Amino acid sequence: MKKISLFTSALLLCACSQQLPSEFSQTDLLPHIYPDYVDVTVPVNIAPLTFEMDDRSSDEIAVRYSFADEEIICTGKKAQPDIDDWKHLTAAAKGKAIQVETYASKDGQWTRFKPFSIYVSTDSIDAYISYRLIHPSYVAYEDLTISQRRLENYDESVIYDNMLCTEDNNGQCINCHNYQQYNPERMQFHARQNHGGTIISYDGKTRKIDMRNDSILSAGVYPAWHPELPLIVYSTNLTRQNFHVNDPNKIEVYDIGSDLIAYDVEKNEVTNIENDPNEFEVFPFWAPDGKSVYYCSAHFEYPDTTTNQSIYLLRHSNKVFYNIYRKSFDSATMTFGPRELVFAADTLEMSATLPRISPDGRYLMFAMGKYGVFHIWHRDADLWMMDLKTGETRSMRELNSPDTES
Amino acid sequence: MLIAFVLLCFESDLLWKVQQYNLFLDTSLFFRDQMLVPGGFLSYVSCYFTQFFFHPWQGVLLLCGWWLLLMWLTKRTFRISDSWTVLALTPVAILLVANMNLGYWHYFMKLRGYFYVATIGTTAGVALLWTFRTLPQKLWLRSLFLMVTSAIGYPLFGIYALATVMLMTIWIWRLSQNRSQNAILTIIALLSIIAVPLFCYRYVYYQTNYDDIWTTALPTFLVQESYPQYYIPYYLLGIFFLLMVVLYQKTLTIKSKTFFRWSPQVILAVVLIASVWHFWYKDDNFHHELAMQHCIENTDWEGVLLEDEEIEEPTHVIVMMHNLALMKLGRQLDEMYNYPKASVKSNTVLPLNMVYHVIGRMIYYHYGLLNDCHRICLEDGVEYGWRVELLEYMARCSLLCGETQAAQKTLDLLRHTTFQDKWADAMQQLVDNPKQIAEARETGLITHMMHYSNALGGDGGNVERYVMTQLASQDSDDPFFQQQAVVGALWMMNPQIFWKRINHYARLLKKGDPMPRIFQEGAYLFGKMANMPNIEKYPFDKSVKKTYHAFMKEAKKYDNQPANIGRSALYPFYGNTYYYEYYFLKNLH
Repeated sequence: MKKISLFTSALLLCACSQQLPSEFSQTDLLPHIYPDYVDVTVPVNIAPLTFEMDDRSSDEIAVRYSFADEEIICTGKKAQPDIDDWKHLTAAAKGKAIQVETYASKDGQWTRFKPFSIYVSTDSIDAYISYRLIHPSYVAYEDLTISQRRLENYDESVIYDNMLCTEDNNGQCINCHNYQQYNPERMQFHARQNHGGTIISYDGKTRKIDMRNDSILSAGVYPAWHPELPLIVYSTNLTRQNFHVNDPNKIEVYDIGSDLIAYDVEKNEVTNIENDPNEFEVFPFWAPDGKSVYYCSAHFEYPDTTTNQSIYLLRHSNKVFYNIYRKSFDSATMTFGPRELVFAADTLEMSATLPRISPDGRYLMFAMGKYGVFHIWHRDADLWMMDLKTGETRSMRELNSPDTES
Repeated sequence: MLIAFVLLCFESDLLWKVQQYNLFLDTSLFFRDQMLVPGGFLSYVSCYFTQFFFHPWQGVLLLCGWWLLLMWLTKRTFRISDSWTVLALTPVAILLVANMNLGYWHYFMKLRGYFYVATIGTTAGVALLWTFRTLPQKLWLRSLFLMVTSAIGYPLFGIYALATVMLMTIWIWRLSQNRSQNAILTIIALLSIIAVPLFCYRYVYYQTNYDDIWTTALPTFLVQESYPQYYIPYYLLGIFFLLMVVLYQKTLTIKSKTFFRWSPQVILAVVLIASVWHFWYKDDNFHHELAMQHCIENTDWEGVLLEDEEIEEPTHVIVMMHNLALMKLGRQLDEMYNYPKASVKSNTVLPLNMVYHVIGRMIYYHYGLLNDCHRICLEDGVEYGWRVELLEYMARCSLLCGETQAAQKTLDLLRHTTFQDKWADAMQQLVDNPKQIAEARETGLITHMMHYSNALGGDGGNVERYVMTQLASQDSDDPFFQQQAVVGALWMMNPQIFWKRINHYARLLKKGDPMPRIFQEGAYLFGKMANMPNIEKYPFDKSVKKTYHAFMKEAKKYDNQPANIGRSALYPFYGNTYYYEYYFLKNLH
């Protein structure tokens, strides 16, 4: 027993023995760290913010996170605060800021960087985030999952893995997971190819549906749950992709046709919402009050002489500009009104996609690039914000970078 | 010793390639990634040992060390008498065949560390069998051992642990006469074999398909269809150990003179050696391709040409690497048409385009089509798992495209390998000093090829056509690129395209620079075909015109005959001319 006590004491001593360097030079520069947490604001329940120097010039770092008389000191290649210590610190700093002092060592010489702050919001964030975990690629896929991570720590678990239904050459591609108002009991995702269909889980009942029929372009693609009703609006897309010979964007993904449909989860019914052949409607998103649905649409007409739409659109893909529209929705009759233009990106010779509405319904955020529908592959794409009350629209310079935002 | 000698002398390029295709990183993330599937530990350890083939002698020493260990374990486990020692060589011979009969499968193996997996899995299995045999005959102890072997062995070694438990089940009946105890142990073992994979499938692993849970850690020989013949060595391995278990402690006494007493051993040894020799994949072109790839990796372009000197019927893969080497050495225009024209198909059952899959990324890289090289790397990485070679090409592409962060990320990954860190450091020099890229031995010429204008499209899997089409569709003021653009136009055999490219090339020529012969042949041919009035006034070499007229006169004799007759007849005399290329190889393009 005595031995165990001694061992435990030794361990604790080691754990507490992390110290900041006593001799160092000082710089007025902020540290280049990865991830870049300099002066960020975080929810109070966020997991410990681990980081390392974003260059190869440092052998070791020493970091002090402190607020009032609470402090955590980490040393090593990375700063990795203990989760319990971190919870104490964030709780103490709630509504205020944690100071972070960073020291980096190179060849035994320590440098102290200008301290920065991590602001701790009084608000908490929903504990889980779900995402599709997939190797970067253009065409091929092998193992991919829909996973979830707990944001309060680093626990990760798999919701669904495509390899479970992959048989020999018949692979399965899963995508477009989506929830009704962040409710994990009401979720849907698509499975393509082997055992394909849309899997809808609704209040404990899970089923697979096949929406395809002769009157729609494809099965449902990009989904948007109505905030309250058992109704999902989808775009239906005929999607193609081609590769750039010599362009940093590498690949172009585009639709040669797309429409909007609505799927009634309870009645298992599909109805057309928009199917104008000269309009490419895509990316529906409900307003938080459920009284209107936003979406994007590009006007594009194929000449009568066109024999191959894919090739024609391939050659004119940089002339496809998406605007943002809105349709009203009457929940009593379950009918949609006529479309109204919200943001005319085409007048700027730009293309606006992926509309998202703030919870109070006032702001519209969207991605805007020079052309096309798939801005995740467009390095020029940035985030923009529109005040729906005043109509003022601006680039979100505080978020945008020279690379892709979407 | 014999195996080591043969591997080192004849398969060192293959061994180098095997390590290029099996990545091992010393990171915890890499370990965790392997452990996502049952048998992942076996893959992890196998990848670790595979990396030593970077220096083939090191890798071969280690591999032979494993095989000696397996032989020793086999002999001790099954108490093989000295006079039957050769039996212990059998599993090694089978394992050797399992690896060396793969041929082009090496490029398409999805099982990580496949070159070592069977060896280490079998060795672990035999070690467990030995332990099982030496256990006291207590029911609880043997039951516990069976269950632990299944429960821990399956996640670590996959099918090898299950097969070992199955062998234990059978062996029980040879090791003990206690029937009731044997029956209980058999039931426990069978239940373990069934239940453990099912339990792991349901509660532990999420990446394993139900159909595969009993065969994990075996390679998959499936490309569009299944190729069951490649599983035969694995069946034979199972049968061998089954026989060893069933015939355990059976003695075969040969009361005869020494010669006859030893003859079964000699016969078995001869049969094993003959079988290994027979099933060893010995295709010359396959090995030449590997050697050429190895030379290209070392920027040894002369080595590429030396390698293919003795090839009579090259594959298209070889032809393309040959032309690439000529281009790099500045000898392409003089020697390109001297090489054998007709290429043979790769000697493989696989229904895949070998140019695309074997050297596609390399060709794209050296021709400056970096987006396409990067694309193949990504696709192959997803399909077959990340490989050293893919990461190297991705780093190269990022470097040349000026995508510094991406290059840095990939180089940082390669620094976690045992042998590629020096390569990563060398590339780091270029990342840190981009001005050196144009001067560097490997990348210098590629910078001259990066003048493609952008377009959207795809290669459709045809690497040569894609490269030549891209080259032929644009001009550049860089003479090196423009020369390739004319080569592309010649390949396209389209006069309109040719005239555009050659005119621009002519403008770039300095006064006194000669126009390459094959370009003159192209111009004269297309000029004659179009009845250009001034064609004879252009300053063509006399030999160009003379050869043209002689060729046309000879070719006319074969007007009404099948193309292959004229092709064969005129090849010795005109095979190195563009006229021959145009008239007899047009359809082959």
